[in-house]
Amino acid sequence: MNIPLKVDAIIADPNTNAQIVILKDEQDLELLPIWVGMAEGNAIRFAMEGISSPRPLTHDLLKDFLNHLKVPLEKILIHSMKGSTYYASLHFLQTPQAQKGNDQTTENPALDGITEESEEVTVDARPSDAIALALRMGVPIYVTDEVLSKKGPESLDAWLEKLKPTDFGPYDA
Amino acid sequence: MLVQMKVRGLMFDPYNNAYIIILRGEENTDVLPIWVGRPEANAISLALEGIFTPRPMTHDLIKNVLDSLEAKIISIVVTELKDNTYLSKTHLTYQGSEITVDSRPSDAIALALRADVPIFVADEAIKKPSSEELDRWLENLRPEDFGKYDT
Repeated sequence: MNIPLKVDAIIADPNTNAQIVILKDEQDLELLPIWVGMAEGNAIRFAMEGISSPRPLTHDLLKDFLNHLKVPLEKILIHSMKGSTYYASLHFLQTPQAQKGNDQTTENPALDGITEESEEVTVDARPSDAIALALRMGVPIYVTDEVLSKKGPESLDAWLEKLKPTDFGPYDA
Repeated sequence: MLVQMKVRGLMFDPYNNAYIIILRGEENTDVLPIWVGRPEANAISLALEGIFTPRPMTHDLIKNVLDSLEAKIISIVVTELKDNTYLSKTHLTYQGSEITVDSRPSDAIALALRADVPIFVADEAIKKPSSEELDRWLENLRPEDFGKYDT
């Protein structure tokens, strides 16, 4: 079963120079912390805070590509965890060219809309990139219950307990 | 007119805490230095050195998405210099039509290296002052500045 999650917060990990994305379910019962790199963390933070850059940043570019191709992103799914690495996938709905009629000169063939012939195309991604894209495209973020049952909530609790007020000093947006 | 260029170097600019990509034409006459941010420089460096990461980095993801959707990057063009910012376009083909998407040169170059497509620079973007600036910058470089180079 897939459970929808929301990005609750993104915080800097003062010990590792990485950032932690905190995902929560709608009832605030489940919490999934995912460690991401600085660049990906910033990409997520910009999307959360609605900051728009004068020039398209890398995830904005991916969004622009998809908008130009008119291939809708349906959802992203954090589907497994191997070792300490989470794996995610992007789920697109692509209308094959053949389904758009034989008239190849149509100005905007994809405007015919999504037909029953649309095919789901999935692409492997890191959760950080997938979340940065999902926030920009306004699509849901899902996690499998298998991943939620595997994650160790103790690790975050332990990490949070060890935090001292001074650790927040290096925080740098 | 468009000039085809290749990435000839990537270096750290300690004064601006940024990285510089050096594009150079085949005849070595025109040089175009483009300042880029750290993550983008890293993405270019990984492609230049052919380093394969266990998980797809962001530009690898873009390439994988385009491949999966059967969209093909055909070229990238650095079109102009506007307010000290280089603008560029990424050209793709998808389902029989050509699509042009505005991109930063850093992202476009990172993609061009991964897709193995040509990098073009428009005449208008090659301005002499920029290479004079580079000369001046190079003349002022001290050996210890290179210590800060950090991949």
